[in-house]
Order: sequence, then C-alpha cells, then structure tokens
Amino acid sequence: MQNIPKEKFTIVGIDKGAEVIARPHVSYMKDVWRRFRKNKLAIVALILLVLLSFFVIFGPSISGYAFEEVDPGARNASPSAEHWFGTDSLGRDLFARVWQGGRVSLIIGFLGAIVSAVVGCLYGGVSAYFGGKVDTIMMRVLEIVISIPYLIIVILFSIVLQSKGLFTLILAMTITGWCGTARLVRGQMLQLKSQEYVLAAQALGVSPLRIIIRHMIPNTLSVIIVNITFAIPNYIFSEAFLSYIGLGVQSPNTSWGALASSAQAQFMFYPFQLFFPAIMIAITMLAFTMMGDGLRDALDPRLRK
Amino acid sequence: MTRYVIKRVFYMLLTLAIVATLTFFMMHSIPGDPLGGMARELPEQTKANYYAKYGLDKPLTEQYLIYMKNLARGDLGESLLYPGRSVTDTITSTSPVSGLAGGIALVIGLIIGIAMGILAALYKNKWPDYIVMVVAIIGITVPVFVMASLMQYLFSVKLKWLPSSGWGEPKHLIMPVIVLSFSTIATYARYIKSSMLDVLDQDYVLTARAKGLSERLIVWRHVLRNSLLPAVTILSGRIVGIFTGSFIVEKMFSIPGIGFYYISSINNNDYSMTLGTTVFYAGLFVVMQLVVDFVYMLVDPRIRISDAD
Amino acid sequence: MKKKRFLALLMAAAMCLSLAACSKDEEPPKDDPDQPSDSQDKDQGKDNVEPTSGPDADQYFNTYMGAEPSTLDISRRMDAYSSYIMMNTMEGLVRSAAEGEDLVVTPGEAESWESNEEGTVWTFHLRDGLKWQDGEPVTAEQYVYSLQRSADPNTACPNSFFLEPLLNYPEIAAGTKPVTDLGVKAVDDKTLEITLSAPKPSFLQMLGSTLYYPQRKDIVEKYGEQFGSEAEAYIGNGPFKVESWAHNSSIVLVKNDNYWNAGEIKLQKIDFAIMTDESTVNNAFESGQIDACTVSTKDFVDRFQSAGKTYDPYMNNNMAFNFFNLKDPLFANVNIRKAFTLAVDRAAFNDICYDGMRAPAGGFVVDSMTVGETNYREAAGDMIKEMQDELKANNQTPKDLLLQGMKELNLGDDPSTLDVTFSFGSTSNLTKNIGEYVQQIYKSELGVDVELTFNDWGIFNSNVQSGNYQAGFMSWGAYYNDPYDTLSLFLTGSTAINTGWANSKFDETIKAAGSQLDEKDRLQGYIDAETILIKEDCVVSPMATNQVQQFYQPYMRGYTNVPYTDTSYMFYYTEGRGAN
Repeated sequence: MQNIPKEKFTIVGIDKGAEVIARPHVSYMKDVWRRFRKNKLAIVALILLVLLSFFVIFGPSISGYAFEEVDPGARNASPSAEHWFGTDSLGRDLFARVWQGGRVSLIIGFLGAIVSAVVGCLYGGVSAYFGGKVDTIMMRVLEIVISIPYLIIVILFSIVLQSKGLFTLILAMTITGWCGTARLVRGQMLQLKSQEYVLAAQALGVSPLRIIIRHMIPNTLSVIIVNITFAIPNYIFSEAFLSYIGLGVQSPNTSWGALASSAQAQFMFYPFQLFFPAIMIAITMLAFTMMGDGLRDALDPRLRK
Repeated sequence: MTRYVIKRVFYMLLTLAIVATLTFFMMHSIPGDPLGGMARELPEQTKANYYAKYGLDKPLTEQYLIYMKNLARGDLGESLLYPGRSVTDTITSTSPVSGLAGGIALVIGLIIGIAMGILAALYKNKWPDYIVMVVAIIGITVPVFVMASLMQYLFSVKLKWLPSSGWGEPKHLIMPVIVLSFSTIATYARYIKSSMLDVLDQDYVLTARAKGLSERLIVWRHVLRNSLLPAVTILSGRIVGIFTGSFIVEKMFSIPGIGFYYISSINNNDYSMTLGTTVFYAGLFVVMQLVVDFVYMLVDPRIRISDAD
Repeated sequence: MKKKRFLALLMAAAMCLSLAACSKDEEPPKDDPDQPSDSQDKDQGKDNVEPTSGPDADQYFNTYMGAEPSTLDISRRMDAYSSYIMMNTMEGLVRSAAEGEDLVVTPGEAESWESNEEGTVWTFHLRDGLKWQDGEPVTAEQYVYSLQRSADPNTACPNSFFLEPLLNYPEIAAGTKPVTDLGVKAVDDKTLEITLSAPKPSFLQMLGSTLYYPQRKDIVEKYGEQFGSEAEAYIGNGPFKVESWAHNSSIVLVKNDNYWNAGEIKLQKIDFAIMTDESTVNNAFESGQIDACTVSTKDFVDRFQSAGKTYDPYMNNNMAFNFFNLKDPLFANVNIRKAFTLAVDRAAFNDICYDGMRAPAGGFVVDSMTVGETNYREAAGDMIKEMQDELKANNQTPKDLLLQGMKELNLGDDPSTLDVTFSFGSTSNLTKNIGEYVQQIYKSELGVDVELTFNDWGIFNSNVQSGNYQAGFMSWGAYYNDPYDTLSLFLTGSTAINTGWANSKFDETIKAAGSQLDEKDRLQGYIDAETILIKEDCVVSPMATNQVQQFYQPYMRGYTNVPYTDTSYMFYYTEGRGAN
C-alpha cells in the first residue's frame, strides 16, 4: 500500500446536525408492544383471555349453584334460564362447573406449554449449537425418553409420587412433552448455526448460552409459538387422560378435559354437555393462536418500521 | 460418511438396549400381573403354577438377562395375554394395518395441510389465512371420538353409505382416514404458514423478487424448500406414529391395528407384548431420526451433522 | 382401554354370562318406572316387520364381541370373551338351559347321569355317535385327557380352581401327586366317572363350565403352545365350528353338520365383529350392521325402542357393592360400617347413578340366584331395607350410628373431622359419577367429607390386597347359580375381597350349607350366613344388581336371556330379515 502523507488530510470537524436522532429512542420491548397493539386480532385475543380469566375467577359463583351440588330433579337439563349451560347427569349446574373446571385447565394448559417450550428450546438449542458428541448423546437420550411408553411413565409417577397436586400433574404432563419441541428447535437451529450473525457473535466471544438465548431462539420463535399454541389444548385434554391413572383433578373438583370426557358417552343426546367445555378449549386455543400470530409479527425485527 | 453411519447404527443398538432395559424394569414395577385380568383372586397354587410356566417366578434380574438374550437373537417372546401368539407375529401382522390407514391419512393430510399453509402465508391476514386458523383450531380441539362418532352417525346410520366399522375392504378405510388426516392438516397448515413467513422476509427472497422471478418460482424454488425443516421434523414423528397406530381411531372403527396392543398390553401387564411393541417403536424412531438428519443436510446444505466436529 | 379390563374382570372367566354383560358399565341411565315386559316387547318388535310365513331361507346372525378372545384353548384361556366361542363351538356333558324363566340342567353330550348316595361319585353316559367337527368320535377318554391337562401344573390353567371339587386336585396342583390320580376315569368309551372329594350339591351347575369340555389329545399335541391361537389350530364338537378368525377384527362360525343335534340348529353362520367401543356398537346396531346389542343408558333404550327394535332386558349376576377394610381403625367399628351402609338410599342411588336401569340391592347374593326351585332373594328378603326400616322405627338416623361409633372410638362428635377415603378400581365416567354421588350423600347424611381415589384396576387391586385402603367399591359377577359362589368369598382367609374379616360362625354356617343336599336346609343356611355378613357385621354394603339392557333386531327369534345358561346362540334364527 502506498503511503499517504499526513498533510494531505484536513480536519473538517463534526457535523453535529447530521448526528441528531430524529425520533425518540425506542427500546426493543417497547417497539414490540407498539407493533403488537396495532394488530387488531392480537388485541381481540387479549380481550378474550381477560374475559376467560374473569369468568374463571368469578363464574362459579355467578349462577347461584355450587359446582358440586347434586340435584336429582334436574338431571341432564338443557340450557335454560335456570341453568344457563344446562346440567350434567347428576343434575349439577354446568355453568358453574365449566368455569370451575377452567381454573385448573387454563393453568395447566398455559404452564404445561410454557414449561415444555422452555425445556425444549434449551435442550434443542444446546444440542444443535454444540453439535458433535453433545448432540449425539443428547439426541440419544431424547430418543430413549420418547420411546418408553408414556403410559408406563405416568403410572409409575402416580405410584411414586403420592401427592396429587398441581405440581405433580404438570410434571407428569411435561416429562415427555418437551421432546417434540426440542426436536423442532434443534432442526431450526442447525440451520441457523451457520448463519453469519451467529459466526459474528462467536467471533465477538459471546457465551454459547447467550448466543442460543439472544440470537438463535428469537429466530426460531415463529415455530416455537405455533408449537405452544398446539400444546395448550393438548395439555388441557391430556389432563383428562391423566385422571385415568389417578393423577388428574380430584373429585369433586373438575376440569374442561374431565367435563368433555364425561360428556363423551352421551353427547349424541346431550351435545351441550360436550359443547360448552369444548368451546372453551377452542376459544382458549383461538386466543393463543391469534396472540401468537400477533406476537410473532411484533417480535420479528425484520418487520420493524 | 460410511464411518458415520456405522457409528450411528451402533448408537441405535445401544439406544434400543437401554430402552428395553428401562421399559423392562419399569413395567415390572407396576403393580399387578398378567393374571390381574382374571375375575377373582386366584388360589396361590394356581398363581404359582402360572408364574413358573412363564418364568415369572425367577428373580427379576434373571428374567431380565433371559429377555435380553432372546432379544439379541431377535426373539420377542410369546404374549402372556394371548397364549400361543408370538409378539413378532402380532407386530408384523398388525403394523401394516395401522400403516395403511395412517399412511393414506398422512399423505392426504400432508397435501392438504401444506397447500393450506402456503395459501395462508401468501394471503396473510386475509380470508384464506383465517380459514386456515379456524380449520387448525377445529382439527385440534374437536376430540377424535366426537368426529368419529358423528361421521358414523351421518354416513352409516343416516345415509347408510358406509359400514360404521370393520376392516378388509376399501370402504372401511374412508372414515378412519378422514378422521386421522385432520390433525395432520391442522398441524401442517400452521407450521408451513409460519415458517414460510419467516423465509418470505429473507434477503434471498427479496433478491429473487428483485431479479424479477415469477412469484410461483420464488415460492417453489426458494421459499418452500427453506421452510420445510420443521415439516421434516414433524413428519418423521408422524411416520413412526402411523405404524404404532392410533388407539382411539382403531378402537372406534374396529381396525385390527397395532395401537390396541401397544396400550392394552400395558394395562394387562402383558410384559412381552409391551416390550416388543416398545422396542419396535423405538427401532422405528431411531431409524427415522437418522433419516431426518440426512434429510436436513439435503434440504439445507449448510447443515452438517456428524460426530467429528 | 381402561374400562375394558375392569369389565373383563367383573364378568370374567365365566361360562354363564351373556355377551351383554361384558360390554358396558359406562353410562348413567335415567328412571323408567314401567319397563315393558318381555312378551309385550317381542310383540312390539313383530309389529314392525311384514308378516312372514316362517324362518328366513338365509339364516345368519351378525353380532359383536367386546374384545378379542385370549385363546380358544380351554385350559389356558383367561377372559370371558373366549367362552362365547367355546359355548358355540364345543359341548360338555350338560348344558344349563332356560325353561321359560327357569334354569334347568339339560343333557349335553351326556345322555344321562347318576351319582352315588353321598353325591361323591358321578357316572355320565355319553350319547351314541358323537363326533368332533372333523368326524372323529368323541370318547370318555377325551374328557379324562381334558380334565387332566387342566389340572396339570405344567399347563398352568388359570381357571383350574373349577376343578377344586375333584378328588386329589389340590395335591396335583401342588405337584405332589401325578395327574393320573385326578378323580376322573373312563370306564369305557362312552362312560365317564367323576369322583369328588366331598359332596357338592352345585356340582352339576359347575359342569357347564368350559373347563369340563373334552379335548383332542392329537390336535393339542400337534399344535403345542400354539393350540387355540388361530382358527386352524383349534377343533370343536359343538353346534358351530370356527371358520375364520382375523385377530382383533372378526370371528366367523358356521354350522357344524357333525353335531349330534344339528337338525335343530337353524343358523348357518354367526359373524362376531370385534368392537371394543360402545358408541361404535350402538351405531353398528342402529345401522343394521349387527343384529343384537346391549346399551347402558336410558336414552339409548328409548331411542332403540322407538325405532322398533326388540327390547329384552334381564337381570344378570353382577353385584356392585362397597366393602370395608376391618383392619382400618375407623372401619373396625361395626356402627361406623353400619352408618356408611345405611346412609345411601338404594332406590335413589339406582335412579341417579344407573338411570334406574339396575335393581337396588337387598343383599349380597344377586336377585337371579336360586336354590333348587326357590329364588334366593325372595326367600331371604331385602336385608338393607329391613335394616333401614328398623333404624327408622327406633327413631334413629345413620348419623346417630356414626356418632355412636365415633364415641366408642373416642373420636369426638364432629364427623367432618374424620379422614375417610373411598377407593375405586375404575376411572370410567360411571364410576366417577357413583363416587361423586355418594360423596355428596355422605356429606349430607353423615356430615363426613369423604375423599375419593380412582385408579386403574391393577393399582386398586394391589392396594386392596395389601390392605392399603379404607373402603372400596367394586363389582362381582357370580360364576354359577348357587349362593355359595358369592358368599364363600368372605370365608376366613379368602383373599378375593380383602376385608380382613374373620367370623367362625359365618364360616361354619356357609360350609355346612354348601354341602347340604337338602335344598330347604341349604337355603336356610345361606340366609343365616348372609344375615351375619350383612346385618350383624356389615362387612359389605351391597348397592345394585346389574340389569342388562339387551336389544335385538325385530327379526331375531329364538333367543333366551336367562342368566347362567350356556346354550348360547344354538337356537337363534331370523324371521323376516330384510322385510322392511
């Protein structure tokens, strides 16, 4: 390279006017919120969730019937002014039962989905990021967990853990639930791993965990969000399955899954007994799907305007 | 590459051995025995004779060693619940049944699901997108038994077009296939839409657009291919799933598939059947995982999976 | 899947159950005060078909089976379902048949029989010209082979306890005597002699069991372990023969022309579709795919009745009951047990939990049982009702009994402080409903907050067997028509229902009655024993007897639903099929 003499350079000073930030500084999260707010569907979803929560909290005491109160005179009654959602085969008020059941179901659906998403993301992320032996071992472990029949695992679970609380339930549900998410995330991350920004971060000496969490997971978010929206109804339904081996909600308490499965045998005659819990599960999923779509758009830095 | 494959095959066998071991001991720690299905508590002597015949009186570790020795020779043993039937025969005769119904459903589900996903992505926040969303929600939240029962009522009881259940003729396949394909449609529509949206924003798609490539070419050549990864991952699980069957659908349409044995053997403490079906499932799964890893590399040449790096 | 095993269990191994009983324990029905009687119903059915001149030319019966049979090997089978195939394709010495409403033991392959005076040696004379389906003759030696094979410890026959009355059986099972010592021998080709270790008045009833059918040594040995696992690896001597068996899908039987009574058999073909799902069965019946089914809810009864199907409900031998663990500090007290027994109004329980489609229980012996010609329950009376009335007459309530018991145990006088858990061996909706209903009743009647646990049968049973429970709920199907069958479950040391109860007076009474040849004395002995069990010690709390809601297509004829019969489908036929 040719030497350029110093005197050829002149100091021109700083052009202050050019450096002024024209718009107020917007943090990432604020920006996300701003874009999320603009998404009408997402707002509808949010309102739906607030409504659901409201009814789940106050619903059981609105109808004037206790959710476990048996009424031999009003069995399998259709929805009416007395019983807004009708009654079940023991004459219990379904309006009270549906909202009572929503308490457990919403918590389980949401927590279960979050837990399995977090575990799945980290597991899949670490496996893909480190690759090689780490990946080999982690994926073999995952194969083993997936291959052992879930039924055996939860039956043993119910025997070993005598407690039947919410924690046990969520543990039993997520114990294999994260595997699918982990495989999905691993696939996505294997693709991202060779992207330039990951290389750049590595070159800058960013810690692997930080790269996974800050750079790679956000870029697989859209897939993860879809995964979560599917996981929520799945968990709500599988809680009913777990009650089959004695792990679900304890009588006289109930859940949407339990209500739906107890309506199963006679839904040809009393479809409303199935309709109300099922529609609640559907509304929940709808709300999370719409919110997920909104969130996905809001979080995507490329769509930033 | 061959070295890598050999290594993977070794890992597969190891995985299967671990799965068999864990399942063996877990299965045996569940209360009950194959005689639990009998109406009454049997006299001790009868039980003792039964245990002796099937080797259940031996110490668990000895039973385990015998089982693993037989497994290594490819012998899965005889069902305890169905005396005289070999587990291997049961698997080879029932998994194709599940595979047929599930396979057709999967193909149909894939075609419709991917098509819907593409439409939803291209017409985001327009009516095709909303339809896909609703279909996905229905596909997931309407329980299978409701769908199956309603279809039986409509097509068999009311219209009398189809037999309500049974197996052996093509007409028996129609309803189960429709029911089984629903969740595939729902799943694929959502995932494809979502990962396509990711890709549609990528620079190379912008470049392709700038070059003036037709939208169809962009979608087919660039977008779809690059958004297939999640689809591949999910597909592998579903392929394994079709050979192990859907318990509820098989039950409701009286399909003699493998799903029944997979679940009922656990409830009935039919140890050899549970272990056999589990090893079969695990075997399929590990093979699919290997296939998935290769397909990843095919779909996206940037991906490298091997033990060496 | 869950309930199937539970049900299989209830119904189990039996020779005497109807298919109906096997399927559903599922749904809570509604009240029906005037169920139409049998005959009315059949007429109603007939109204819906064109008048026909007689049996159809093409005779076949399409039915279903609630689960895949385990095997067709009578010495190794362990489920109830296989017995339907056995009863139709094989025959033993006798058959229990219906004569009107009564149950009679009729000649099967044995033309006649006699016993010595003590009732310990029985001689059976086989008919002339009996043949297996392949034309080979049936001999007494084949009966001997069959019983010896089942008794052989190496066969490990799960139902071998049916052989218990036979001389030397316990020693053979224990391996201390050779099978040839079993109390059975072939006097000649056509004469079979069975020796019992003690008189057994109900022995002829037991003989209907599939375990007393003959077996072909050559065929059994030809197929070895595989015998009975496929249609080809099986042979019968009954009215029908197995034509094909597609596992877990269907079993087809066709008429066996070599059967001695083939002339009386009208059906040419029976097609069992294996259907494990209740709604599938209902849909199949409604669409005409199958000719018979049972339902479990009042709604389906109404629906099928209004569709002109033939309704033929009958009581079966299945009892649902609560039982208490006497080793539990609380339930060791008889007043506590009595309080829990009497708190529930059986009629209301039946109306609400079973849609009024079962029968409120009056004791532990099911309503269908007879001793000789006498109906047991009618003779013994409704013990639960009597106890409840007596309590009322004393101006007491079940809660008073509870408080009295609590006082005796120094537990204070606040029932809500009691920790009581009821365990259930099924997680079906029906069971859940029952649990949640009694939970409410115990709260309102006794003021006790009862906890409920629902588990799969295996876990429930292992808890009960190890005494790790307080009170439980289960169902029990009787095997043969004698109260000894169910009452003997409570003999000291019996592990069947592990209540931990021991009462020597009960043991003596029931044992004496069991070998009492005089029917009147036997009946009284059973009543005395049941009185101790129910009224004095309150060990079990009988709730309801099962009633099977049987439906047939209107063209079905010749069926009988009397419990404990094993004539199966031999006399079924159709008249006017396809006429509408």
